[in-house]
Amino acid sequence: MNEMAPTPDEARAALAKANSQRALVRKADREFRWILIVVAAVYVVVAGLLSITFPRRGSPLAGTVALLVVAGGLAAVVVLGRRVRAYSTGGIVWYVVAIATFLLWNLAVTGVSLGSGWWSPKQPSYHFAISEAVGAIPLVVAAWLFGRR
Amino acid sequence: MHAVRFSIVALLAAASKVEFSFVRDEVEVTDSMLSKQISILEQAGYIKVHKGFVGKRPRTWLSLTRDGKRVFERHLVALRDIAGADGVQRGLHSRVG
Repeated sequence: MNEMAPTPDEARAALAKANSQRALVRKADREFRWILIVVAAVYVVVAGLLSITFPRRGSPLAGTVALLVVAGGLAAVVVLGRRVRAYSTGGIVWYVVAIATFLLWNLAVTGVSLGSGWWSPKQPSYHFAISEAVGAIPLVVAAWLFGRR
Repeated sequence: MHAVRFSIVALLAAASKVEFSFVRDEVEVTDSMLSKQISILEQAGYIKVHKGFVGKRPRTWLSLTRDGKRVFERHLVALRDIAGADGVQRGLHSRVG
């Protein structure tokens, strides 16, 4: 790296190049948002399917469709994961924080739903879908924030 | 620093890990040119090469070493000094002129 000192114009061009390279990595980080969106979508769709048949009107068709949705979602996550070709430390931290927040938030939503009686055999089944949709909010917010990076 | 090597290091400096093909596409060089530059940077101890597989496909990931990051940061400071010093000189000239 010991070469002739650059001229001021060359130095400015090099600094501009460094900034543009940084922007490229930030853009690459955005690939993570598609994974979060797929997980959120699968979560909400499966909750919707289960709530249609929950609790006593069990339907094998809805169960099968839910399983297919989960399998499709997993396949999509694998494909999207392979598309990630560059990531920053900030990007991977954001991603892990988003997943951890989603899990903790879900735990809280489940606790409140059960504790408040929002989920009980006497309540309509769509309560389950609403709670799960609320549970997916951190994923949607994180995906949106990834898009703004 | 060599322009291509600067572009490679600048890209890696902003990232945790970058795939070989991503660097090739963004720096706009051929595979062989990139391999050559990577070898030079790896020998200097500035970058680390990680080889692995995704399914059956081999994949090469690149990252900057701690030493590489330190040298690049020093290089950026020097570039800022050069660019900044010129700005100061221009300011003086414009005031005198």
